[in-house]
Amino acid sequence: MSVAFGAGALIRAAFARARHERRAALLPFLVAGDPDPLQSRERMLAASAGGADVIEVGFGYSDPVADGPIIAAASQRALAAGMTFERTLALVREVKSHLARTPLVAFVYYNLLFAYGVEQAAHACAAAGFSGILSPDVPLEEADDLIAACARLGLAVPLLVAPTTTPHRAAAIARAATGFVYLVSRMGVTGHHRAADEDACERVRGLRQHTETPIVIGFGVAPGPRLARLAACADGIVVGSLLIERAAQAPNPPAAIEAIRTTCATLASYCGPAMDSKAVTCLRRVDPAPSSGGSPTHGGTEASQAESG
Amino acid sequence: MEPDAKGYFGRYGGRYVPEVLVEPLREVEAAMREAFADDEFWRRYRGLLRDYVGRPTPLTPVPSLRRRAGEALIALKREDCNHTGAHKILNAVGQALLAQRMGKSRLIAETGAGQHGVAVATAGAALGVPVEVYMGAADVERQALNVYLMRLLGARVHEVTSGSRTLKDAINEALRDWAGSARETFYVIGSVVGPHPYPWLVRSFVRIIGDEARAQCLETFGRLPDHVVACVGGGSNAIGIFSAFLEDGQVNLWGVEAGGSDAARLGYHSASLAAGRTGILHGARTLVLMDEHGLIAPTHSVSAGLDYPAVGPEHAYLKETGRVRYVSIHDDDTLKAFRMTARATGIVAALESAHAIAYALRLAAELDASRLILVNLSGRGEKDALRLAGAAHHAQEAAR
Repeated sequence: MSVAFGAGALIRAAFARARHERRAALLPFLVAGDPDPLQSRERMLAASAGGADVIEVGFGYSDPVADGPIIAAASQRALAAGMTFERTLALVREVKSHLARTPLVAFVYYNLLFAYGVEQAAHACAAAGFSGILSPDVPLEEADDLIAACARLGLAVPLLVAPTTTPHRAAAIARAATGFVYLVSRMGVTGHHRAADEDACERVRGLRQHTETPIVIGFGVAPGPRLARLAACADGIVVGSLLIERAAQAPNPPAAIEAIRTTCATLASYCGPAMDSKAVTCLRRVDPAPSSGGSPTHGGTEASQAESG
Repeated sequence: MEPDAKGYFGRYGGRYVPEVLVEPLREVEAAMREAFADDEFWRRYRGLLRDYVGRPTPLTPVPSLRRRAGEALIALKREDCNHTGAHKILNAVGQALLAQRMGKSRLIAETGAGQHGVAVATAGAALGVPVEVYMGAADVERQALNVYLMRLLGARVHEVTSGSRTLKDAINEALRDWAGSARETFYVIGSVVGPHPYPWLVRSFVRIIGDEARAQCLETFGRLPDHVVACVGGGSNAIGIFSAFLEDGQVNLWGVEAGGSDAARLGYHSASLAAGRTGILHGARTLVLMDEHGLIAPTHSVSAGLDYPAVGPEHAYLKETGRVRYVSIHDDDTLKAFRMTARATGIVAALESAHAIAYALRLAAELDASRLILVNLSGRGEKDALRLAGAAHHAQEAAR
């Protein structure tokens, strides 16, 4: 059952827009406060400028058990920079003042919500401008409190489906998820060095029988023909580790911000309509071209630029 | 008491894991239920305990272990006499047998001080299953002897450099491995912690400690003990001995946590039951040491085996019901008990177990000689003696 009003509506609008443009939505994931609050804000704005339809905002946590080394390291950098639950909300409030139309989804380990009080945490997230809360260590059986708290506020609660999830269970998850269903493309933790499984698309098709909610694919996402194939079958693509690694490897803060923007634009170019292999090759050559984009604007424009390139 | 269908002991327990691990945990639960209903499984388990681990372990009355004449009598359940020197092998062998029954071809484990890692490496070697162990880099440095032993036994040891580089991070890393490998891999968790069904699974393999001790008390003393004392980190040896006495209302049960250097300051102790808040760690809702922002707190204890920021969910439940009382003992009192036990009894107890002995000595001083205190001596202390002697450096050289 989808949310009829409130903050979650932004997510529906974002997917509807992408669907209207016959492309998969791009959902970049960044850790709030990595490597510090100021740069983190700029990176989120850059992700939007690069074509983000929805931004997943990770909360720094001491024990990010679902994450691979790249996101875990980003989480540690955020904590070292003094990020807390409250500071993450403050940062999101600020980002949100620049990105009224872009829905932000909180990606937050359950202990942080639990320690704050699930009900209060959901309130605080809604007040900060979040459109949904995704908690990676809350499976369906433990999600009642979170779903109830969020439903009252119009916040979406996306849930995950993994390669190990049985079809029966996947159907139940797909029916309970709001905002989007997050299909984990392969076994393991987050990271782009191990590629998504090719059978992810088959699983997406299976899920569609049970839900109208958009289905996004994440884990193991990197530019390439495989991404184009995944994007062709899904409603959205989540990418985190690749972005974070590119930014972390940049020689200085402005380059890191630019890396986020260009990488998002490249990824968005693979999410376009009716992508064939020729177009992919063509776009890849265009990829490193410097952009004239100055102040960050809402996503979508960058993506269509890349498509036309 | 069994946990409910969702794996809760009262309000504690459950299964807070990434979706990818839900099905593997269900498989473990299904296999466990099936194995537990099969007499042949238990015959094999008990056969290994008798012929390989060396059970039953003795119950040793130690009248010399008292500060003054006329104090209560202490009896030690000698889990130090197990093969590999601690109760950990009971769980390692049990889970390895279950893994084999499930057709898993690889075992992974976490370890803090290295005792559980050595136990799993041992079980793997005995049953012919390859073992990989995750160990925090800080612990690898501190516990060179056990690193050497694990490698000697054929296990691969992965040094974990994420987070605080200790036990909790080793568990995180093992869970990450399992998220990618569950189809062929069995995760042998080392205590009554983690997502359902692990707290229940582990308890089922360690409860033989209590079953034996209860029968031995009846046989030796013609009665049940007045008090049962065990140390609590994750809490497996304590659950092991308490399980047999939960229904005996007249038996007082005491869990002893690590008070560290300062039991009142977060970061200086490991007393999750005394100072923790309800939270989520390693897949379970339980009492957790965390800061005001919900981040898992650093911990300290002189004994690496108790140095853990949470506790098995059943302990949180037993605290809430009041059936078990939980107390803490500081590092310095632990070291005193460690030395005193060695001189008075000829037994070198693990520092973990020395916490329990220290509290038992306090209890004994308040009780008369007609009273009986049963202490679970969960493991032997050679590993600690080596460290205390400052000889860790030499072992580290040998491990290279």
